[in-house]
Amino acid sequence: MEALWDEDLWVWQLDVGAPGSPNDINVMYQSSLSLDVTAGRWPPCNRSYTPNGTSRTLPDYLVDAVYPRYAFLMSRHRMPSTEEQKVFNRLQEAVCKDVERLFGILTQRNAST
Amino acid sequence: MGVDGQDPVYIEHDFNTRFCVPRAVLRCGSLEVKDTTFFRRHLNSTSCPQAHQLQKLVAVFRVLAYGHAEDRSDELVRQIRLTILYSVKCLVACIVSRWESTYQQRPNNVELKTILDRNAERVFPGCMGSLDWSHWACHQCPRGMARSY
Repeated sequence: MEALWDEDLWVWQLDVGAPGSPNDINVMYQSSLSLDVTAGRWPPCNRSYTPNGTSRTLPDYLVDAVYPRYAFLMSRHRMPSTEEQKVFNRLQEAVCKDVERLFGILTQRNAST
Repeated sequence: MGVDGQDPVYIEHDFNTRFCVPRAVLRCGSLEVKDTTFFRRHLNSTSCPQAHQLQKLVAVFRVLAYGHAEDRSDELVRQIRLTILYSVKCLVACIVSRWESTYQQRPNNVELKTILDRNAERVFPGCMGSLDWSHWACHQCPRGMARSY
């Protein structure tokens, strides 16, 4: 099950039915979201924003550290060495845990394990 | 209210246990599928009426809610396995075509702007949300009889 969602439990996309054997990366490669992003159909790049002084237009998704380093995925540093990287990791995990909360809620409500 | 203005045969709890789903869900499903070609009641070549749509729906919900094999409830609803299998497909297709655009859609520009603004306050400008993946086994999956045939 692959899920994509924001803060107030609004699930944009839920891909269910992948067999149990593929890992996160393989599921992402075959999901319709990733296919749309690589084909340029999603997301709309009409707003620019400026993190760290560089201007970007492509919005991104927060993911775990296991995902590959694509432009539309923002993962945390795998081995944070400097204080700046550690602070970034802490903040990123704080926002990224939204999706873990979703899985918790889904499994609790539907009593599936 | 039941048939002809009489009291319903089953109270809500009995209805749940008997038909696997609450009354509102079964009613909603039956209203949704009643005009589809497959669920409409047909006459076969000997002019006998075929299965009623509620008959088919009961079988579908048994498969979906209890994870029964398709031929498990054939005596109850008097249908062949393939009919039940096809009913499941038709109902799921109905549900997807009717409610997919309501519940599963990507945000439009206005909603995306709200999300981006709110995430910018949470020190991640340009973040549209989070994405992850999790194993979630379907405990109703009828795998007990796998590879038996």
